[in-house]
Amino acid sequence: MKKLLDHGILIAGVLFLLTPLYLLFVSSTHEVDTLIRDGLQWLPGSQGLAAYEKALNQSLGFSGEATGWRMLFNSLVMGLGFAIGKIIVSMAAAYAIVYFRLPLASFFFWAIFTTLLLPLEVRIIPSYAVVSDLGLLNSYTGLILPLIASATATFYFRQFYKTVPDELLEAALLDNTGPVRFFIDILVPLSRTMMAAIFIIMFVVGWNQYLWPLIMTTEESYTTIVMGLKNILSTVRDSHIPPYDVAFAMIILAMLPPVLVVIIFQKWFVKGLVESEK
Amino acid sequence: MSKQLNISQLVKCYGNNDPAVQGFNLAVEEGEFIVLVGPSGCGKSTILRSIAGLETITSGSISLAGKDVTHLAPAKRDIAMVFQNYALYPHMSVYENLAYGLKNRGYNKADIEQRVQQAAAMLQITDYLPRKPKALSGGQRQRVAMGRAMVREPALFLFDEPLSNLDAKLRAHMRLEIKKLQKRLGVTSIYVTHDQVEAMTLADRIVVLNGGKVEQIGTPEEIYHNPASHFVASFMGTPAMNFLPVTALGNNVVRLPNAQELHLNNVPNNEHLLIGVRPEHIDLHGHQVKVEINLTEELGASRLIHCQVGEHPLTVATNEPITKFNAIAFNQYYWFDSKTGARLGDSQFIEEEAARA
Repeated sequence: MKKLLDHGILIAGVLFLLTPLYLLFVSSTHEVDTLIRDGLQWLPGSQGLAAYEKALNQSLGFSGEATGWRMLFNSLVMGLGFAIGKIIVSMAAAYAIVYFRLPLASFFFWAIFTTLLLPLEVRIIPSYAVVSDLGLLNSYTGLILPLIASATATFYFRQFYKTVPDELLEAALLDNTGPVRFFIDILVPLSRTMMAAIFIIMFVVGWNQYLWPLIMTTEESYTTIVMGLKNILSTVRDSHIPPYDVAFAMIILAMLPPVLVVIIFQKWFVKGLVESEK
Repeated sequence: MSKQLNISQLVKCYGNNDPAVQGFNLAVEEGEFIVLVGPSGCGKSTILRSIAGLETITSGSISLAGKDVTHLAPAKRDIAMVFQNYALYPHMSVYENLAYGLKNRGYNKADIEQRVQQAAAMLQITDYLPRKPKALSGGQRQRVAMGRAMVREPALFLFDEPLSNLDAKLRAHMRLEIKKLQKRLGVTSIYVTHDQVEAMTLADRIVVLNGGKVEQIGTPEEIYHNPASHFVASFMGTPAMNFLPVTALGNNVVRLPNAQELHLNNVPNNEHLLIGVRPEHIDLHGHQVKVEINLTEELGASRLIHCQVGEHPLTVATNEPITKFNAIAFNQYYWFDSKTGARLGDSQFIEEEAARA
């Protein structure tokens, strides 16, 4: 009986989360007219995946550069750049703080930590000014670099390094291991699960960036998929029929990569939380 | 300068506290097995870590195989260390664990393979080479840790309480293995422990430390039969030596805690006098010192009988099937100054026995 209740709750939760997605997907297989006349559809329509084809290949803007493929690619660059860049930078920062006798190490750590109080929205004008002065507007570097430092990730890695037993470092020292070797041969492999967890989080954060790319980029070739979602309905507002089918298809497309990343890294993620191989 | 390891005037201070090690001197012969023993906080681990180069020392010098290594990095000292918690690299297989140090020292593949296989065969861990440390038992991990030290063929082995994470039975077994291995390889070794049984069984020479100072350096026999101080006498030997405060009355007569007066050998003329008697040096048929029996612990081959002399506890070890007696005699005993802890003399029985041996 108890089990039944448990499953009931879980199933309700799953339905609650998945029904809107199902509606979106099914509706995207209908003609625009149907959608406008009858609203969202519960059963698959006649158009198949035509809307996806359109969403991927049709350009939204004026230059013809902002196709779905292009936008997905841009978002992918953002996501990967965020995830990989943040992992590298924060691992290196945490390594310096934990393993080296730096003067003012804990001051620097807290200085990094307090940047949590200054999210992008607070410092967007100076950030823009700096990037603009460096001539990095409309570039991937400009999109990624100003946001690559992460207090959260640095904190996670610091906490993790602190749990690595000192004897491991000492054994490595006796094994003729220098600081770089120790980092690459010992710490990085031990941090794999941590890295997977941070990767998931940061990829999604990067993928979902909206405000920063909106301000940073003026060229359509740098439009990301999240920006595109908004554009698709607004840019075509003049025409008589808003392309809801394509918009729905694009929402589904925009969700797929983060979902895939979570599914792929989930095993490691859970492993990282559950088991400690120290 | 034929000594393998020479430590002179080693001092180590942490912060502004009292020095953890105060002027430690030790000269070790090649192939010797030295055990540093003492209670926790006596500085034994600090000394070991200083030899390894994991601690920078405040003053003093350390030389190994005729070379001054005081300021060398740990890896340049030609030493290998076995850690208490093994400190195996958890993400590497046993083979990689053994090979890692060699690889970092630029050995070629064939050489590494040969050395690893040889060490693995000697430690009987060949079957475990592809496994991760996670999949090994405590004893097997211990062997791997030793293998990692062995493959390098260093001039000096350092052991930092390597057996304290094992259960009692395995500890006794591994103790023997370490001893055999060390004799076989003939590598000079320094071994740190707080377990005096390990110290007695393993050592060629024991260094007893207390409060950052050396109490005594000597062979296990010397330490046991000829302790230099109250501390050494009380620390070494199980069950521990009995100590009774006595008052010297002159003419080799003392007053015991139970107010009994007794004639003993070589009573020193000292105000604060302590007599030390090992539990196994008590004669149950002696009829000299009156005791009350409190409790008997059966150990199988022998038994421990806990008695009282006046207010003071006295433990007797015997393998005679006796459980009841009311007076005993001291076969051998030592005199100590209860204030300074210094040894003042003994019943002279020791010299006779030493002469016989």
